[in-house]
Amino acid sequence: MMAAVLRALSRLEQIVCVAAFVIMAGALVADVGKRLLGRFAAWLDALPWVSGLSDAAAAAGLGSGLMGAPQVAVVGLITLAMFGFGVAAQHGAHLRPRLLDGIFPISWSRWVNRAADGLTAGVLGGLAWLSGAMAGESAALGDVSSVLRWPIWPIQAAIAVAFGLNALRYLIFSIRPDLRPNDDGLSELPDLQEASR
Amino acid sequence: MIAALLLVFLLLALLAVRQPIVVVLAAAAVFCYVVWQDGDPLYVAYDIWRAVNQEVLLAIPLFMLAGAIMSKGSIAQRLIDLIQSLTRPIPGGLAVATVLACAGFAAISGSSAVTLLAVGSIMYPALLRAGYSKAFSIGLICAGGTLGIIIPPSIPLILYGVMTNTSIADLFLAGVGPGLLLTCVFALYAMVVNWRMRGEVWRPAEIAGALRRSAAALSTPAVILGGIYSGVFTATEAAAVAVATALFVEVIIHRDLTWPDLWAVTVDTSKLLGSLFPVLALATSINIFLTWEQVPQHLVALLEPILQDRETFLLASNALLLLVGCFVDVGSAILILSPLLEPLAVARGVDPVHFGIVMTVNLEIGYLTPPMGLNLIIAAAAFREPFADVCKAVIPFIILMLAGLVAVTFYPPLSLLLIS
Repeated sequence: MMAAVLRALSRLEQIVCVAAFVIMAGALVADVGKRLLGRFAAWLDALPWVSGLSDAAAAAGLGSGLMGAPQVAVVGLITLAMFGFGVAAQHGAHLRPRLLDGIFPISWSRWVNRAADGLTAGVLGGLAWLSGAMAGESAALGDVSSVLRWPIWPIQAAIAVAFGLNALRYLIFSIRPDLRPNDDGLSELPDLQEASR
Repeated sequence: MIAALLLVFLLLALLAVRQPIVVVLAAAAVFCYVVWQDGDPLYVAYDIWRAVNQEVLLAIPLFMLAGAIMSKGSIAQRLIDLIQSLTRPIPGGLAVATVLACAGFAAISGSSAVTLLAVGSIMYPALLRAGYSKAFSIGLICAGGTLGIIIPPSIPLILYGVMTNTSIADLFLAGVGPGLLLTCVFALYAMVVNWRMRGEVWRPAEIAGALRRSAAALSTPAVILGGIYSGVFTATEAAAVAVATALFVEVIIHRDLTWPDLWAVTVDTSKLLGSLFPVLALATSINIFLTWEQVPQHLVALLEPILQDRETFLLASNALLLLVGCFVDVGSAILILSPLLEPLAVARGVDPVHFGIVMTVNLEIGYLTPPMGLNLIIAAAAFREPFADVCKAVIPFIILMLAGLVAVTFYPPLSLLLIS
């Protein structure tokens, strides 16, 4: 059951991240492309046998950026940043200073890791609650984004949801340590020694 | 005073119970707001929002994705084929080719670990087959991999720019000189050490073929950097163009990337970003708190009598950053330390762009210094060699990089020449 929950969660986060990348890159490329097409038209217009192209381009709205595209890309960025947190957690990729790892005996590792995951779940739960409170305040105040005039609370709520889902994930790691990924991040590296033989 | 000691105790306790850095920073941020501000931890949530809600940050995921797409395709192999064909007559040509391939690939990927693995997977077996010693080969690839964070586009330079409000385009331009210096130093060392490995003759047909196969790959950094410095697009827009170019080259021209590959690469990049951005957001929260409490200004006043002149300050910064680089990854170190050190540097007349490069070169050396040097850890795992042997293998390269660091630190035109 818990393994299935983690699998579903992981799949959902991956889909959201890929979609966020598509939105980010798509919005910015469309923005740059629209501007460059206008410039290109103006450049072609300078040729002796071409005329009226830059006027046509200007009439088509080319030459200037796509209104609100960077802001749409930022929405993608925020979604990616927060849901990528879960992808990193699922792969044991979160940065962790190991300075004081030796403080507890190795034989305690299993229990220390379980306690650590429980504590992480608690802190992330706290961050989810704070982010939720922020989204609630923004909704109550009717805050909107500067260019797009979209309400910002749904995006802020996504931060709360992402933290909440990761609190759940770490809680599962704490209850079922066998589902916990190795956090040294090295198991996915290729064997270059083997390649040299 | 008691509150400060409590904070230190809290942080040490969290590290002892193996908490990720994001949790440690979250606890520190909440503690600071609760104890020293008006007791409302909700500010932390607003700081996170403010930190991630910035257009300038868009450059980071997009440059990382572009680098990952190109690493997954055959660009590394094509680049290496070209460089190998060009360096054939040079003594120790294959070693020189390794350094140049690392530099060239770094300009595309912007990541040290990716450069080490992409170039290492091809060049390490080739170096061993050609008779180069194992220790030299490992050291060379580890050191060459570090070039990824100084040669633009560089993620640590973007992070420094974001945290200190310094122009990212200027930082990229400033990274070119030190990047070329270190590349030349490594290449010269490779030649001198392997002088007995006599070169072969150039084969024009091989060069022409390699040039043709790698033309599209070579065009990518030209489009990115050319676009930024000709004013056609900003660094953020350049990152989006880099993704589009990478996709065009790998999917349409080279046809090396399938849709499942692309999915895997995107998920993998999301993983890297997911570990970086929350740290950035919470480091920003602490930075906002420190600025609000005027901590950098107090620090400047406190250190005024000790670090009076520019040179002493730079020496002290180098010592601190080299030490930090041994224990902390480059991203976290820049996020946490740059807002504190940059005002000190500026107060002593150091150009903020120059200081960003000095910080990055210091932390670049941290990739090779135990116990937490990332390239050492990756190389030990990927080459299946004892960690101690990898540490010994990189010693000559650390010495070379320290010499380079002295030049970068005390000769600012090396970084600033292209900007001025």
